[in-house]
Amino acid sequence: MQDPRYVLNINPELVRRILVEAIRHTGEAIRGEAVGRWVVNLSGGLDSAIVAFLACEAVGPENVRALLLPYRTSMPASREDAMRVVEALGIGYQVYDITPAVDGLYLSKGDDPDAANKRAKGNVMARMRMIFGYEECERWNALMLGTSNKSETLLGYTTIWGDSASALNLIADLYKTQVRQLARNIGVPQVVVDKAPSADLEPNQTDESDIGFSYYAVDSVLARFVDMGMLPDEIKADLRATQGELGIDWDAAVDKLCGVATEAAMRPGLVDIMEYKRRMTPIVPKISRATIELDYRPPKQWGR
Amino acid sequence: MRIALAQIDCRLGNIPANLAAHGEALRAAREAGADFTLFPELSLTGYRLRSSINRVMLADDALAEIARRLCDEGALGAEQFAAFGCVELSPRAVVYNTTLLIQGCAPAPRFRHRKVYLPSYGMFEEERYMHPGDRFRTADIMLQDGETWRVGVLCCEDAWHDSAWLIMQARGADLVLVPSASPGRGVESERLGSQQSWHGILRTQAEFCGCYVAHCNRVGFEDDIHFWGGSAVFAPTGEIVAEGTLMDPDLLCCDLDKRVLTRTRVATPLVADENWDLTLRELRLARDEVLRED
Repeated sequence: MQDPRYVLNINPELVRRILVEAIRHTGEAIRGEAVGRWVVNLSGGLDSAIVAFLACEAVGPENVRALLLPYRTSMPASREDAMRVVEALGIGYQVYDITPAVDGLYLSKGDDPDAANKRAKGNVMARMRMIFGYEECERWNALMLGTSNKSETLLGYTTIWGDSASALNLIADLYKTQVRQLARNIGVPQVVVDKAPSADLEPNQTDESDIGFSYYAVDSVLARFVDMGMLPDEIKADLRATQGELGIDWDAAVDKLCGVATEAAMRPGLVDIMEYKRRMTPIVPKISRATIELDYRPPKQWGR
Repeated sequence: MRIALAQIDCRLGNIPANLAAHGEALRAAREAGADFTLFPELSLTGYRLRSSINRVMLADDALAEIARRLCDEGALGAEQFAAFGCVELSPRAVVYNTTLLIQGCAPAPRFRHRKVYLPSYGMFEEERYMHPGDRFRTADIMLQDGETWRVGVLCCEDAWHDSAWLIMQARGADLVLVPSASPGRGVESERLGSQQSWHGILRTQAEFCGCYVAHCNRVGFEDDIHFWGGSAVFAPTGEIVAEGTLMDPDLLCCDLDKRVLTRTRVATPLVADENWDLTLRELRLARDEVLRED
């Protein structure tokens, strides 16, 4: 059993090799072509930047296309940072303003886009970006690269059928703090590496203020819970012993993410509740003898 | 004995393509003068078959036909041996994860090992689709030059059970074949976590058993997982005699020397010194007194 203190460490060269090979293999398995083409939505953040860098390494910049998809309230810095990535890689790109498409949805309903529920509209934006991405894929005979990391996937800090939709969710087995380790020797522009992670769906939004904990705190808890199978009480004790206080309320973090179980009652954690978002096949009430997912569980790449 | 490890990629559920890859590797091994060629676990079918396993399971007549094709097409010479992995459908319609040992001149398999320990924890779900074998045995094979080798098979997870190695020791195996489909994971240090664990185990067991250990691990991707390759042959001295590339297909060839077996066993007579009566008595006691209470 691994020492929990090192569970978030990665060997960036090994990870890089595995992910680059995964891109090549998946393109070939799905499209039957030795070199697949890939579309990636660039947000200006670190996750999508790293995915674009790895895709270029796998199939060459001529086979990667970036979409920049600002809404009218998006921070200008997002687009500037995404352009830094495009220029560093020399990949083809398109900028599509998604404002008419997103606002159009509200206009269709006879609603004022500016008066819309912020969370609902943020999700419309995330889904609209994937609609643009998939439309590009169809026209260019390409596959969609996902850019979700393991931290946000476990927390459910994603839009289901939005940013969580893709053909290959490349870095979804890497925690955010591990993505940062990977970024160090891949050539991602420093300003992109250093910026505060943000969904940029609402003005001045950051992930860590939305979540209520730093990614360092979140990943320290999740890696022990998910990867090491430690129980919430063990996680609390271990974090207090090995990480010190660091101004983090470890008990609150563990309670929120992993839930609380006493002899009297139990409350599921965020990770438990959000499992439904990770089931891209929706829950299906079982009727037949061979229900998809429950019984009929073929591999995804039969014959390839 | 010259052994070849065919560190191939396998296409999931695509027996014709995999059979062609076997033929190609066997021809290359023959060219290199190999007496014996080892393929990875489930080399004929791919690993993560899940509920599609019924589409690739093969009864003895179909397996014999595959062996015949490998020989007829000139891939496997009359005096050469090969061991490959398949999904076996027994006459009673039981499904096994089987390693078949065949010889070019013989129509029927010389030896078969049905994987005993089918991992069904974490990411693994083998026992959901297959049935465990019930024995660990060895076979004596005679090479072209008249030399006889006693070989056993521990398929992947089998090799993670010390008890299986103990049986190989007791049966006096000269060479333990370890075909595997080991997924790569653990990226926190210099070497892949899977590789570190495997090398530690195999090296130690080669020394404990006083035998050669040939580990053939596959490469390639299946859905979400990759197999790391890095096949290797370990000498009874604990040395690595040959080691394959990481993640890319490879064909490793090396020579195994019976004199090294003899020298090592005489210098460090661990197996000869083993007190089998004590071991068996104490194991039974431990089972009765401790394990059954658990």
